[in-house]
Amino acid sequence: MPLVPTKSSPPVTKPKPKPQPPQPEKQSISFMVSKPKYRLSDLILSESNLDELQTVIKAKEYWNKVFVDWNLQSVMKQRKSLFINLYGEPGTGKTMAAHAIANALHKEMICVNYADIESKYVGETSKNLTNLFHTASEKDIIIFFDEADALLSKRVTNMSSSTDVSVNQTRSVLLTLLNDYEGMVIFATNFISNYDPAFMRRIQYHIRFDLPDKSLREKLWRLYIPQEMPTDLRISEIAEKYDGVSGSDISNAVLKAALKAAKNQESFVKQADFEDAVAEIVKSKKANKSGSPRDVKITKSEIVPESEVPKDIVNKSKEFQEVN
Amino acid sequence: MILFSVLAAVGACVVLTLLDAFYDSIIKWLSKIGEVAQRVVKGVLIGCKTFLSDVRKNIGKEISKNYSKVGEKWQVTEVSREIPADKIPDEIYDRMEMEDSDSLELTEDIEAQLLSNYQ
Repeated sequence: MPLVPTKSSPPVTKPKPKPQPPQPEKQSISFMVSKPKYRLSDLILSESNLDELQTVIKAKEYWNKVFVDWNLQSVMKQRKSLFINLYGEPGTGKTMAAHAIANALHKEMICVNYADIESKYVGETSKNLTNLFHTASEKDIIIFFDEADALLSKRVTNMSSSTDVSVNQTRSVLLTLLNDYEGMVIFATNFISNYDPAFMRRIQYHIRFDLPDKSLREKLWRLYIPQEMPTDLRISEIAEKYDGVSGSDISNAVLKAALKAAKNQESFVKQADFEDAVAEIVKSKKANKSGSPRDVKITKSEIVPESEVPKDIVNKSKEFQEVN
Repeated sequence: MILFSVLAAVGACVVLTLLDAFYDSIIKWLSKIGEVAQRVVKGVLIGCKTFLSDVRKNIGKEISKNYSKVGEKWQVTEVSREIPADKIPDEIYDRMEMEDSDSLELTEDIEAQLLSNYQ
């Protein structure tokens, strides 16, 4: 039997897939759970700050008393969550206070920085946030957002780029997560004025940290100078003379003075070594304050019709165009 | 009579110094805003107008409107800050009262101050 070739359709050639540029691998983020590093007794703070911290620490204990016994639940929804915001100048003990709160409550913490959760992939930052809250909720861990203004800053009202959309999406996701969360979240910031009002409303406690006054500065100088360090420092005098310095400035000044004395092979750390170190810190802080644009807050940014632009500015723009 | 003239002259100097300090603080502030605005605005920064408004008991609000052009569209970026009332010279209060307005434009005053600083 002759073999008759069957009529068949021409072979279908699959189009070769176009070579794709190699995609960097998305890494699922894992959060480091840590034990608090400081206790309340490590903090040198004003009486009012310590009192506010105690109130926050005891808040959960009094939940039943105020909501049930005193029937606060009849006028407001009983929240299970507790959100605390520690704000104030850098180096005033906010981070230490967050650790101390966790320590007093015998809880572990996840310390989160914006850079930890921010992703270049659209939508990925929100997923990271969701994972964070899920992990913390499962293990009953305190979430601590340091430099929180990066995450809680005002939403963009006039979205003109995909970055704006992504920023707003992250803010909205965080608001929803906070609404549903039943644990404790601590935020810390140097720039509370950047916070979006929606976040401000959800945070029950705002605790302001100020730079230490003279008596606290004295305590801080005493704390950071160990008994073994030979020195002729007159603590009361230096505390009086240099105000506007934080605990962390004092700690830095002690280190700088000690290193200088050691390098110069001095037998003890002189008053002048401390004064030079702290004066240098004060000077650099002043320079930073006057030159830094970080405190500039943009309150509105939007596209407007030309009729709303002053005539002289429109004319100036036309002049530019003609010249160019 | 002579004493009166001297007092008036001293008074004028004091007012000028307070005003100078007031305008200079705004100029310093505007230069900071400029740095930030350059980074934030998407187009070319064309000009800026400065106002003082909402002057209440303890505080006044200084608003600067930065106008930039994004292609054919205009964008206005507003930056505001609070100024303690005691830093606002009486002359400014008087002008607000005379103009019977909640907002006083300071752009021309600042331009004049800039010119005098560089002369």
